[in-house]
Amino acid sequence: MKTQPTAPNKDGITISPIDHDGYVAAMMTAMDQSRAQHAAPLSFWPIVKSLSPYAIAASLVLVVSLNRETPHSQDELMTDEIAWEAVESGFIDINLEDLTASLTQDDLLYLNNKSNF
Amino acid sequence: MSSESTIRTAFDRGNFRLAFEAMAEAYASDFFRTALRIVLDHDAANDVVQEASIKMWQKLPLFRGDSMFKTWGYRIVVNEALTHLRKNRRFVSGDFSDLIAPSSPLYNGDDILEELYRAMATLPDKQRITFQLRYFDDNAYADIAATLNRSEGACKANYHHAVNKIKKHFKELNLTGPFASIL
Repeated sequence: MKTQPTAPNKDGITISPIDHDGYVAAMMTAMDQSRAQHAAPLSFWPIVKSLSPYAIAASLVLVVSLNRETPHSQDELMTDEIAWEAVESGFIDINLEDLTASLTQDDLLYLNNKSNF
Repeated sequence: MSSESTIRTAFDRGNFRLAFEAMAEAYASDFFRTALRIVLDHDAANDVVQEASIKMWQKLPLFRGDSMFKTWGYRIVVNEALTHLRKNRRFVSGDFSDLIAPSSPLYNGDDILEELYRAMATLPDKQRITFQLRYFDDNAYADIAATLNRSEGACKANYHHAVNKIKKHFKELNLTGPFASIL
């Protein structure tokens, strides 16, 4: 692994190349463990950003209606009422970053597949 | 190619694993150093960087490119360290012995710096962390305010209170000469 020794810092803490490699390895291990627990992250941001609010609202209604048979948890973000309000007003009071973070990967994959309509 | 360019290139190509790896190789030590200065304990600093790494990996696809990757990662580490402090308040010793003990393999500072750490150990957390982010990492007040989720004015006030207390500490020890070169 490539090493990048750090120069002595103003704070007096000097980290050797070997220690640096250890910290790099620790970060990679944490990342790999996270990957093992969750699927690898995908970048849906450009897709979501390119959709109009109407398309997002319509897609969400579709997702909600298709998942209507599935039991939902109480802290679910998107309820039928919110989705319907979004369609009626054409406006969702949530920023896109929070929106993408709150959706499951299956939802995002579904949006991705439907983004051309 | 600079570290930031390498990370950016991998990120723009959608290769998040490579982008994360490049970020770790470039900044792992800086992240650890930052965590260590806040939580004051090697093991805790390792835990903080590990938790921060998981968050960085999970949030990387949502990164909007409005700052350097280093700054972005640094903020996650600082926030994670602050969360650690809040959760483990009773376990934080409030001294810098992990840093300035003669046996510490990491510490390579001089006597004046050691005294600076002793002075910092007497500060309340808000003043200590603001001072560290400003003095050691050369952060602008606006960045410190964004990182700590406080107003810029509050950060300036915390910094100046910290400096005054440290000055007083040095004055009591008659270390005014070398002190002038530190702050």
